[in-house]
Amino acid sequence: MAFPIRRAGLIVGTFFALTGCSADGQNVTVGTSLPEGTYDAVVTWAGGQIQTQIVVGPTESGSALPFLLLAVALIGLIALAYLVVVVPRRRRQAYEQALAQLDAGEFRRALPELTRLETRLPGKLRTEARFFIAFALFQIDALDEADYRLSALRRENPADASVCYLLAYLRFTRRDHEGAESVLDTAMADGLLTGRKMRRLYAVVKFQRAAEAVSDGRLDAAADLFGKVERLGELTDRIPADLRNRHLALGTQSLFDKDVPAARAHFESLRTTALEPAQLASVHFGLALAEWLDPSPDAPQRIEQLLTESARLLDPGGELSADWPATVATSAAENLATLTGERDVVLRNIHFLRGMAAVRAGDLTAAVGRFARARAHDPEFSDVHLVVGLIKYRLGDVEEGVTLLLHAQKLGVREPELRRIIASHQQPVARYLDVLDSYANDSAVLTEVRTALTGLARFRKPRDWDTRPDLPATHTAPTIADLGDRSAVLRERVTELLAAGADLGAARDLADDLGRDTAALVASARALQRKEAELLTLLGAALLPENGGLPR
Amino acid sequence: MTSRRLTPADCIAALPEPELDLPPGLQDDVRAIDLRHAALVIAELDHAAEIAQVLAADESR
Repeated sequence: MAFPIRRAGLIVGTFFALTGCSADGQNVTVGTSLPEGTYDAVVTWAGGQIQTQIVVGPTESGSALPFLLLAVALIGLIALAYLVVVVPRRRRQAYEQALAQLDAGEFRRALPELTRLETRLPGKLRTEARFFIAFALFQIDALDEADYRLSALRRENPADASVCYLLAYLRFTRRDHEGAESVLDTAMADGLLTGRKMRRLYAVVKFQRAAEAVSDGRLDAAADLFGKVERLGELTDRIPADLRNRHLALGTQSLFDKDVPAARAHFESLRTTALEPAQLASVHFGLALAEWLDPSPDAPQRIEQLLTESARLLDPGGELSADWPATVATSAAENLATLTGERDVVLRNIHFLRGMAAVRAGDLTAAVGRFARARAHDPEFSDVHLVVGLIKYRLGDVEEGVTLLLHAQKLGVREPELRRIIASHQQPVARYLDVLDSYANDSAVLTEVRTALTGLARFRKPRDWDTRPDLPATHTAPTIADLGDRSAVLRERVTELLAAGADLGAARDLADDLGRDTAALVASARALQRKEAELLTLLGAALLPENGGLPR
Repeated sequence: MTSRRLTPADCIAALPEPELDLPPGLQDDVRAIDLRHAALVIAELDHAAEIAQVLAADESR
């Protein structure tokens, strides 16, 4: 039986394209059958030719075919086993090694291997690998790519809580609170907000959004957002009490806007609602403030009634009036015990407003009793020392009045009226020492000036050991007004000392120089401001179209 | 090689708990709008106004 020469070509394993051959001087084409026998042949192809022998055997001797098929089948089986068993096992091992690196925090090392394996893993593992890649990208701060990958994963499987969490967490980390909120709102709608971690993240994101809404003046939205935070049961202690309730928030906004009827409407709508005591206290406080801003004929009684109710809700056993303490100085222990917390600040404000309502009604004695209660909640509240000092001074208790005003000054009050009263009741030398004291303690005064004064510091008044430390020092440069005031006070002291008979001719000359320099400085500052205004006007005329300037 | 393979839930568990991080200005905004803290601002009571009211009350006696 003839053996197809094409097959012989395959058996010898030639891999080039057999284009034809010649046997016994004849050209044969591919597919030609030859009788049994041995043939000298020349095999030619595009790149050259070779001489060879081709043996065409009998049919019986062609048993190579079954062997050949067997060999092919075996090779196929081996290849199949390799592809089905060995390759996946190796991939899995490589994958698990990459995960071990991820677990050990070696994100940069794990990332290339995970990326290489991603498309070669079976379905479920592939999805998982994509999450791990996104996680590693997040950890190495490749946030854009991590966001892109997680967004794709979320689109494919919105019910994957881990993907939702990581995507929202990533956006929260990069302060894209709106983006995080959108992911978590959907997760909430899909019932994925079951774990505490997810709830916490949702609450933090909502709180941030609420704070942004407050900052933008969208109190209505802020109140809704804070309400959601509260319902999530997280960060509840951080929510301002008055912002947990929409009407309270909007009532407050109306008060700020001086829209008293709207404020009243919001607060009144809550009077019959079941509220916690702190919120109900705010309702009464809000109504009292509305009455303060827009008083009715019986305003004093009504304000007192509302504020008293507010105070009782926050401090059920608290006194409404007290004697003003005989001395201002309080012990360190007392101050530590009364350092103001949230509730104290609120009660201080309530009692202080009660006091001011009594002042407005002309009942200064009642006012002092109420101010004493404000002081009890915040002994270092400067306003209360200022107002009571002034009342006592005007009512004839000059010594205590001045002492209280001095304390108010120490706490930061800088009103001219206060300075005038204090100055008129001090001895010239004591008043000079006060000026020296204020210079040495004022961080706005040049360091070299303060250093020059240190030699005099031993004469400064000793500080009461049991008073609280001064307010935190400010490090701002003095304004022109500050310099002018300071200079005026110092020159006034020189005049007083001269009037008291001190021999200070040189000081008089220096004070006169200081007066001239101060006047020149103030004049320069005014000229500077006029020039600035002139420049701004010029620029406005040139740049703004409504002023005939260039269009944008 | 770890005996137990890492899971996405493990990754989530390893993340620090999210904390509120309000910039100082934003914190002040939130506090300033709280009625009970802002009461004196709403009532327009500052040192100058307080002094004026006491003087007015004293003069009307």
